[in-house]
Amino acid sequence: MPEPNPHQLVQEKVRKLVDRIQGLPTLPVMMTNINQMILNPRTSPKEVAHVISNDPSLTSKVLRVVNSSFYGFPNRITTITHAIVILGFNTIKSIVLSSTIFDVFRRTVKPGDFDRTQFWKHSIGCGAAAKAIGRRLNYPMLEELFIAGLLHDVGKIVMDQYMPEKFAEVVNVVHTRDCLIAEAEMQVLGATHADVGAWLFEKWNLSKGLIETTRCHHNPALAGENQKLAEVIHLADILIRAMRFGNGGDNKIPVISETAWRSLGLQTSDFDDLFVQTNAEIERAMVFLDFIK
Amino acid sequence: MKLVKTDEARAGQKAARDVTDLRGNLLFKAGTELTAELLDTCKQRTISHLFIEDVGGDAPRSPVDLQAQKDSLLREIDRTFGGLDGNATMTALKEASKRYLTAKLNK
Repeated sequence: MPEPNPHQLVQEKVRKLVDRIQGLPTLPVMMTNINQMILNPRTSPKEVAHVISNDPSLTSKVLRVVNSSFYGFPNRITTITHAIVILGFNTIKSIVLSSTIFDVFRRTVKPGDFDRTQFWKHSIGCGAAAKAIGRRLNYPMLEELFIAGLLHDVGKIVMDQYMPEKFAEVVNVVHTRDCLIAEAEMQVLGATHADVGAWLFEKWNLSKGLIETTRCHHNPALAGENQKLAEVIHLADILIRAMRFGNGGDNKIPVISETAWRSLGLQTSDFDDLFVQTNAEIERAMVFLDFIK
Repeated sequence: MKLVKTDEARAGQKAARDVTDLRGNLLFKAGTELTAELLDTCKQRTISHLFIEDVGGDAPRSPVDLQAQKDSLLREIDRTFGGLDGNATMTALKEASKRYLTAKLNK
């Protein structure tokens, strides 16, 4: 019988890890419906708007985002149908997905040592940095970059919420060893937040790009056809740590992958401008901070 | 008590009056120490000005305080990047981080 490869071993560890998670939420039916509707080329904006409008809280969040400086439209958008016509199905789907995830992982357990406000600030900052890098590289889908950055670390929240004792051990190792959180996760759990987040997104049938970017944001060379997207998120995660905006659970900084750095074609002289541009993107993205309150 | 623009209020200062949003919902009470999160909340609720207690935390930072904050920040950055000095890209990132964050501190 052939030896399992390292990827299979990690998958097996993740499976064992998540098997212990009780009551992990499913993606809300509404989100699943929207995903299916968007795949059908005959679906009209009005039909998708009807599904979203059944949830007043979600409707209000979507309208707040589309009317915020994040998009910067000069005129007010007052209906979801109008928002879909202007921004397109995929953008609205991304806004709904991020809002849904903020809701699904709203804290229901007593606060531990993992600071969720700082965590979400780090995540929003990573999305903003990804957009700034994307603009620099003329990347065609800035929206995709923002959402991938926003959600790249969601596995940490899964662990904090659904296995709080084990995750508290991870946080404790980070404090004791002053190491990267991914190293502490490997020590305590044998798998990382990247594996857990990717597993969740697979279970929720989200896009391959989002799954692989989440799985490979610390090692983008493994992301296959999504390597460029993963490289941008890898760098964005490191840039936002260097800017000390929010905190993903540790006080160390991973090394930029040499392969990713060469592939992106950036220069070290670009760092100063990327910080300034990321800061501007963060100010535009502040509306997402509302979602965590 | 003095009235300052929300953009110019700083974490650590204390609110001198109750702060409510445009609908009159109480956000936080007089005497609350401002945090970055509270200031973000105020900005998101389009609260343009805040009454701040005119004592303690809102005193202008002296050059000595500013230098102490800068030194502490630089030590933190060195700690974050600890062990990466042999990597030219990471060293350049560390130096850019120092330039960016100290410039922000000086504002």
